[in-house]
Amino acid sequence: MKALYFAKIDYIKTRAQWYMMLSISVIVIVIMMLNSSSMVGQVNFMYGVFIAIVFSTNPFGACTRKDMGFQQLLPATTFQRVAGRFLFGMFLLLTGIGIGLAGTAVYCVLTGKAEFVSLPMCLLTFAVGVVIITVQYIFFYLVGESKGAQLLSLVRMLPSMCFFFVSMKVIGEIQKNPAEAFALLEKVGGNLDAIGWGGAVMALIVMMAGIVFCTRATAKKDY
Amino acid sequence: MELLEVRNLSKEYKTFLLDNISFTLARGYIMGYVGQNGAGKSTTLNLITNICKSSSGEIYVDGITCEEDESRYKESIGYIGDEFYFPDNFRIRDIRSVLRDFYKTFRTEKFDELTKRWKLDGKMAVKDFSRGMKVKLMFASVLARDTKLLVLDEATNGLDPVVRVEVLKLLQEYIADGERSVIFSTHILSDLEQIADYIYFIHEGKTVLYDAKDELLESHLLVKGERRAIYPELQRALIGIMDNAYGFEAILPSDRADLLTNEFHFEKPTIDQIVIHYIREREG
Repeated sequence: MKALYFAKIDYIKTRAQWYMMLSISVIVIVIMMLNSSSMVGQVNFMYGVFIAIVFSTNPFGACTRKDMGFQQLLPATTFQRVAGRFLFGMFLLLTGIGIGLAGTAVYCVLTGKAEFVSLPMCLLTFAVGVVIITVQYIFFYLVGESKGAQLLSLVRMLPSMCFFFVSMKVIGEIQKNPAEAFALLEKVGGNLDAIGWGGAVMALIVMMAGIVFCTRATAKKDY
Repeated sequence: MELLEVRNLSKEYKTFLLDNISFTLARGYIMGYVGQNGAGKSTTLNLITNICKSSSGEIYVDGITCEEDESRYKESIGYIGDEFYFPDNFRIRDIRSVLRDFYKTFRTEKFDELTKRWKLDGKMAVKDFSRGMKVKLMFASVLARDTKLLVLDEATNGLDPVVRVEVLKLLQEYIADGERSVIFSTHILSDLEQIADYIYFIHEGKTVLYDAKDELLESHLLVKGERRAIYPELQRALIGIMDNAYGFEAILPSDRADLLTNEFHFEKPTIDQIVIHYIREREG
């Protein structure tokens, strides 16, 4: 429960940026609708995850040494504090996904088109988002939470841009020849749904391992 | 069982060592923790509040260490520092909400009563509060819940005299039930003269003095006179001899008062004077 309360603190500290996140998401979705490309659903989903990855590092950017002192004074363990930060990242990711899906729904209603959103692709995109956020958080915890502002630009942009370009490339390839792409995936993986769910579960395990690792890394630190 | 027990506490930094600090503080008392800048006051208090981790030693608050029960340990401590520690963009309602989440004993109505009494504007972001308002908000956050130990790290720095008097009064009210205690580091030693029961003097990470305030004041004399009148035995007994326009000034343990002749004038010192002369003595 206290981990949720720490996630709430992160939300309050970064709430101004949530409005920015929502605004950017709306703009992107409008652009998508005007673009009228295929696989709008998938692309919206990917954009939602991309924006969440970018904004997930905000608590580190908003963190000062005295904030860390405040959180350290609260009656909770280091594990709860770290888990709360990861929960915040997860909530952001789910929000990004929700915005992407909502954007697709709005697109379908406004254009009258039916959009297909592949569940395995969504699960894998979600899994990649979780892993990227985990890796970012591990980096920030190792460097020092209140030193995040200095490294924020680099760590925020690099993984999210890589995710963006790789996702766009994958979607582009699928768009060129969708039948062949899905046949290849099925041939390689067998059951796409299983791959998707497996990927999501593995990503959550990676996140749990990240929480334990970051707890150990920060337990002995001074603030 | 004392409320606060610090045993052989040490903390090593690259250029500083807090060396084997030990003391206890019984319930219902105020301890003044004094020393120069960089003496180790904040380090000690940060170790007590678990903001920093010690290199060795143990700290017990109400019979438990932080390692035994971190939540209960931190619930029993209220901390007010020189620096305002709530996040800048928080408003009072955010602080109320967070404290209610984390502290079982937090009383919303008490918090609201205090913020209203001290006219703390709920619409402003707390970063826009004045220094006095920030200190009062920290006090409101601490007094609205049940704590055993109040840790103040130069909390009265920069406050105007009116607010300082209010804060000192709050501290005396806090210990009035005889179950709670305060440890209070400050440079404003006149505040400690008013309210402290014990004085702990630290210099360069080491203990210099720890005694009841009244005992400390009774056991020392401030001696003044002409330099040429000091003879060898008296020279050895005097602490922190300082020359001034009229001669010299130094501290002398009261039990060596027999060394004084008619050429010297002596009086009761203040805590300020005791601290200054001991520092002078240590610095040669």
